Amino acid sequence: MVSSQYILQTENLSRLFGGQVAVNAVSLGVRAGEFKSIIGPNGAGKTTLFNLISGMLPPSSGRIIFEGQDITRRPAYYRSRLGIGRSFQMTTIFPNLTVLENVRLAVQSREPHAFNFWQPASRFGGDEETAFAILDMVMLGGRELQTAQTLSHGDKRKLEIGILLATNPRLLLLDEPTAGMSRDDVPGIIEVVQRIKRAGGRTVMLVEHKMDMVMSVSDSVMVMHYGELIADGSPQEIAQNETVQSAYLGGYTERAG
Amino acid sequence: MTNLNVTENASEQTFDLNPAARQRLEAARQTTLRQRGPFGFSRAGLVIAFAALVLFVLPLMGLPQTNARLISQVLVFVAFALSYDLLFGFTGIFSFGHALFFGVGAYSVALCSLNLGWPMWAGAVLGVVVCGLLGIFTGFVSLRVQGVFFAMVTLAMATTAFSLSGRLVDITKGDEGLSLIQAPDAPDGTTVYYLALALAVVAYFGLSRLINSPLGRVLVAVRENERRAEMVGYNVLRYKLVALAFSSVIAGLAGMVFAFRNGIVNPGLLSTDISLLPLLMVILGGAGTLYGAVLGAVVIECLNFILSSSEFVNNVKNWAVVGPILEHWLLLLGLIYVLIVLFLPFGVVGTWQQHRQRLLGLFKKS
Ligand SMILES: Nc1ncnc2c1ncn2[C@@H]1O[C@H](COP(=O)(O)OP(=O)(O)O)[C@@H](O)[C@H]1O
Ligand SMILES: [Mg+2]
Repeated sequence: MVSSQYILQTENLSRLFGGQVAVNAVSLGVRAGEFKSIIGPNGAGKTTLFNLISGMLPPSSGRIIFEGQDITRRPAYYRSRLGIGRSFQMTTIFPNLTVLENVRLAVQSREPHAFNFWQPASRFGGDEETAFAILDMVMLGGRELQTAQTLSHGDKRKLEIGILLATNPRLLLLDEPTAGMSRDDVPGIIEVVQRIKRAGGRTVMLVEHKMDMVMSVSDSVMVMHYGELIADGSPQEIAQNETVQSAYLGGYTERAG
Repeated sequence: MTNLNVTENASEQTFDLNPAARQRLEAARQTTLRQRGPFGFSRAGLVIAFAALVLFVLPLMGLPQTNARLISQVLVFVAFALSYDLLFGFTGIFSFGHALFFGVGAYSVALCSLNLGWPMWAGAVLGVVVCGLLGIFTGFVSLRVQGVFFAMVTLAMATTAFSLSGRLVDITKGDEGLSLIQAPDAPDGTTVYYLALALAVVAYFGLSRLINSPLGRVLVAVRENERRAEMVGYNVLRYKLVALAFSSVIAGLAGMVFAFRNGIVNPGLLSTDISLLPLLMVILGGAGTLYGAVLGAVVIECLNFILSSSEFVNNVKNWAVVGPILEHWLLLLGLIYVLIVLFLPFGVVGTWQQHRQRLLGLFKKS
């Protein structure tokens, strides 16, 4: 049933690759404003679930409902316009453009002048201002005019999150933001994620392996295993859940609660 | 820290820019302004505007007809290469059949005036519309598949048009071609010369505006990372179709002016040779710069002219080893192409931009 307390719901969502089931009949609900993490071993189907929600892949069966609207067959760009923003496990930015232009393009995407082909883009100065403000928020202030590909791994990831924020999404899907980061880069990314949470007003789904980050920032945690949703509850409940313990956590308890 | 307040609508997102960030923003804007020269021209734009001015006054000072014809041809290919750069260099679409639009533009004018008795301008208007729609159609059937497939579909379409133009003898007179008796030209060839100049200038400055516009920036975003462009909410297919429409219209206009210049329209205009030329020109000059396309077109068309002139061909026959190669213009093109890909993967302009400091240093020392 469609219920309005959920910003996102999936019903029996499945995706097969050949004979292999990557996502298996997942039914979930994410409340508006909630910060929900998804954990599970590699290959559990977390990224595939994000691909289904963001429209990168069509599901084999099942439905996806966003803010009461069935978006199962909607194209990816349309879902972005509805308010779903997504970051990738492998950072996905515009490498040869400046950091500023990366974010400015995302701001511009929601403006009616995106189809203007005659006036210079610099005429629409408001886009630049918003981009500067967002770059400040993701701690890239001062790097605006650098080419994106010259940024460090961690800063690229912050840039990608900045690009998402520029589209003002109501639901953010963050796929392992700290994966592949150097130890020095991790705190900065955690800070950016916490800023998003503190600013409020957005719903966040986070896939992450760093358990202390997950436990401290999440309102609820979902566990995936072999494509199935095996648990969903508060961080404490998940930390104490025995099925989860054996499947994934391997005795993680110390900082829970 | 800057505050971002979430609202229903992205365009209503509010924020307070802190003073330090505002200062950086103002500094960035000043830098951009300073990079632009007088009248808002970029440096390349100034050079090209000056060249256009020189070309404008040349005929008034008495330009020999052979030179006028050569320059007209160069200018036609400048426009053609520019149209290709919009697709290949800016949007990242790899077409292998750009001759389709060049040839269809030319045939539109010829067929309308010879078979329907329309005035030239009416045929030209129809040609523009046909080329634009054909570009959109090509994109629609093929852009859903990626990269190389698009190139293959465009190649197939151009090849089909090429063989149709040779086979439909009743309409096109086949290989013999259609003569444009009423081609608009003064005896000294200046009408075509000015048409070609106008087209090249409009193409360069029009495309300069386009690529700096919000829409043009989206095309660059598509080239840079299609997935990211899609995921921030751009309908990538639609933007690609727009790029194709602009590109095919300019290519069609280039084909028309070429038809006027030659006074004849034959299947050669739809051949793979013609499809290869803009690709080669853009790669030689440097893709995604516009002036690289101009440079590439000028160099290749001038080379073409020199190497295929009868004096040169007669002389070169006697040269050992290189003679047979130089005699075959296309073979030479292929050789240049391989050399560029090997040694100048970013084209002349791109390589210059990358190594400007070092190359200038070399000059200073000597
Ligand atoms: N595009 C694809 N083609 C084939 N198999 C895939 C594809 N994407 C994911 N898979 C498979 O689906 C399963 C789930 O993968 P994934 O969603 O990436 O897991 P996770 O993100 O949880 O590590 C894995 O077994 C993976 O090999
Ligand atoms: Mg994954």
